[in-house]
Amino acid sequence: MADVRIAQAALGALLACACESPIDDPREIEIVSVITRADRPLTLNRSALVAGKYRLMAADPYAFFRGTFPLYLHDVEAGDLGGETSPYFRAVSPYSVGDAHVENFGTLLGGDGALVVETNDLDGADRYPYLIEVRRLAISAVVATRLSNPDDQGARSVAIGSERENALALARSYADTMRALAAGVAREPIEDAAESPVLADLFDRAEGDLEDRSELAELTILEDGNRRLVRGSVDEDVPENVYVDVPAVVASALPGAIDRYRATLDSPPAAEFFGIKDAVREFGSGVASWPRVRFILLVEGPSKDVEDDILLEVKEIGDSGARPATFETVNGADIRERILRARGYCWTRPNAEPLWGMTDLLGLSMQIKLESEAHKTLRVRRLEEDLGTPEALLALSTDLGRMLANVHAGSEALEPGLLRAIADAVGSDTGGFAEEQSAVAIAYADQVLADHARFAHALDVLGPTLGVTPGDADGHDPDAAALIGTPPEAPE
Amino acid sequence: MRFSTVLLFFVLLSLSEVAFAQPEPEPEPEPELAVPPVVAEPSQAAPTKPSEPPPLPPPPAVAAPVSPETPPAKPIVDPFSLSGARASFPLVDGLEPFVIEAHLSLFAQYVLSVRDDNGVTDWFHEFEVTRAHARIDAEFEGARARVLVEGVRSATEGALLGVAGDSFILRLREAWAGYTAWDIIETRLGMVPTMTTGPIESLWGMRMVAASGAERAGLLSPADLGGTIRGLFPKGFGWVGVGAYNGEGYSQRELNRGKNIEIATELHPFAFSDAAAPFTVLASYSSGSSGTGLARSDRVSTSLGWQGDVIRGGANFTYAWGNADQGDTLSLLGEGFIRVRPIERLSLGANAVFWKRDLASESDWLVTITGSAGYFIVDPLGIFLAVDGFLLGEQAEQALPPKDDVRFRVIGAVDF
Repeated sequence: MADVRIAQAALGALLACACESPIDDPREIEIVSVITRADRPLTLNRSALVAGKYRLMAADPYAFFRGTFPLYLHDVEAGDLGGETSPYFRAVSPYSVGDAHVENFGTLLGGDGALVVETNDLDGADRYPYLIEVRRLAISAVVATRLSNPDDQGARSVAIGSERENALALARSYADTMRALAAGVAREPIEDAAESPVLADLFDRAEGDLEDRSELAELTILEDGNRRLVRGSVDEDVPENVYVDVPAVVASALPGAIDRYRATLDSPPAAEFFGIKDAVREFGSGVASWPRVRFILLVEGPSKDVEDDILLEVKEIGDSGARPATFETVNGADIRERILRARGYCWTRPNAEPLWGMTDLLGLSMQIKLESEAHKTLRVRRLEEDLGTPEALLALSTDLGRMLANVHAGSEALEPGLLRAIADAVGSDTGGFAEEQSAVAIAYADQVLADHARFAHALDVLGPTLGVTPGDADGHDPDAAALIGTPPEAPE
Repeated sequence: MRFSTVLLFFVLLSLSEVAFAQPEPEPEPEPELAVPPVVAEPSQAAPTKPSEPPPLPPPPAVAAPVSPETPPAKPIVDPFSLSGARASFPLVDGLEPFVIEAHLSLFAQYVLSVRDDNGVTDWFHEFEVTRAHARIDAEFEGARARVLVEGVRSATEGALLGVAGDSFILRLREAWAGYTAWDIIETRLGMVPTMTTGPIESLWGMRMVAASGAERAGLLSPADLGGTIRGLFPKGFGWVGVGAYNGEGYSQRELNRGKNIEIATELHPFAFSDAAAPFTVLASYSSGSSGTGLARSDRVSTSLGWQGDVIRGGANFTYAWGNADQGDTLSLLGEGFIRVRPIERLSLGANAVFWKRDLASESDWLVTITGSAGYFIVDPLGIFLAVDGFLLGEQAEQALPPKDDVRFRVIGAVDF
């Protein structure tokens, strides 16, 4: 009998090792697990930067939405999106934005000086089943509606009253555009605002800053006839957004990286164009890419004149997180090829940003693109006053559906018949398709906002990196540490 | 009625063993690649029959390379499921029973995948290395140690950078030290094999064709950092063990204070009978968590099977509380498998896995059916043809696109 008691006590002690979770809510545990798993390499590698990203996500619901694409993919894979199977699903996987959402579209400056609205973030671009991207975009439209008019509760309530209409309009627009494209209508780049107040604002701001070369005024200074990049804070709204000196190891590696980058451009300017005049490490930019290594380069530009100097953004790119969608997919080991293909297939206007290319820097895959104030991104925080009315949001949603269809249409060149397959999947019942996507979008938007509260709570309980902390063996050699850099102290 | 049916089943199996059994003239038969004796998965070393560990042969006075004339050394404690072509060296002064063995295991395959791509048949083909293991075992009296490295793509999940692209690199799969006391208590500490996966795979004996369904589904990990202690039943009746692990598997670091506990047993209830000894019962329960949020990850696994030389097969059921970071999801996996050796060197196998990913969803299921035929050209080297068919419930199909419909494989397997 005593032996039995001893055995029971021993078993109890063993099982007690399986400690209780510090969090009670299963969904909260799930969020923590998915996010920490997705970010683990970065957290172990650069925990202070990941902590900055989580801080941003906890403070802003839309930043949380932007930073949780892995959670969305996880929910899709777990079958937790919409709850039911969809008659509109087909395993048709065009190149797509990857994390299609409102703030991943904006103006790009073409080689001819013209502006066009395209997807302006290819970090997660890859081949995805078309439907999960339509849904992601519709969800973002609903979330954006709910976060619109941040300083006017009444206007926000009115806008929220139209959220279902917005999601319906987006899905209808996607379906109608896709059918037209499948019927042979050419992709139509968005080069003007038409009836959309939000796009009109976007173009107005972009054109104004293009003319002024605002980036030179705001991000550089002229000293004794020489231009250089500023150091310190560059965005008063984001105190952590600062420029600091690049370490010597990076400075010495940049010219080679630029040479390799030039080879990925369709029409590369002369090598002199890319003569590096100055370089800085940028901290505190983006959301999902907040922990990524990012530099800003000041290069010579078309002539020796300091007034036509050019700024380039050099940003580390990681895996997309997409499941292999087809046999001939681009896997995570080939980030460079993934971005270059996405550039070719997703943009409606060929070579919409002629300086967008890829390189590698000290072992990291890096994307280089023009840093210009003419590149304006749709921002949820700007959806207020005239841009936050139900009419403006409806027009924006319609445009987003059209833009995504155009993004997907580019893959027809890669896989003939793809457009017809999507059009067939959507079918002729546009109303039914739109109703389903609208219902999914509203339900998941509820989930996003509830998840945001859960995330903030988990961060409070588990600490700044959700409980994942690097060990002593995770330190870097001096060069790697210099490459990653040390972010400035977070504001209180 | 049921008991008599089971009894009849055993009798028939026993008769088939007798009817198909090949004459085994050697006093100590060399285990073959796919025919581990009773409990023979390399990662699950446990003496089952006979209960006494075989005495080590007297080592030669000086170490010498193994030649065809040199009989292979006795295996270390457990009968490895290999060819017997291992290299063993008495390394100390030639008089101590200190044995080191080196082993290599390599599975490579050519895969032709075919799928329906919206009405159009699409296909892809590639060569793969599905296993590249090299291991060193050492024993001195009751003390044992193993280091096993495996080849893996460098840019798999968790890798921030690949190594020279996405090259194959070597990483630790097992690294443990152990001690067996009085031939009844065995302990291991380090990166150890867990106690559920290996015995299930051994039950089928066709690891070169496929891992167990539960491992493929990600419900079980074959190894983890931790320790195990097993009690070895005498006369080949099996063992019972308890293990404590980090719980994140062998490819991830620990993220929480919770430790996974595994309680497992392998029983051969008819070990007293030569004819019925191959009947095997496996059962395990693991209580665990994963991630910093300690998402629940508990498993119950039970298997019944027959581990004969000519016929082996059985069924496994694994029930999971928590799946893929969802601690409140219940999941069930059932797997049936059989392998027959109708003539010497020929192996025919079949395996069917049904996995209900989420019991709350009617159509969230996958079925994988595999058929294979293989021939051992020489003891350590076999070549197999395999066909896999896949069926998915509607929800699983939408959640996990794209899917292959059929895969054809040519597999080469070598095990020294």
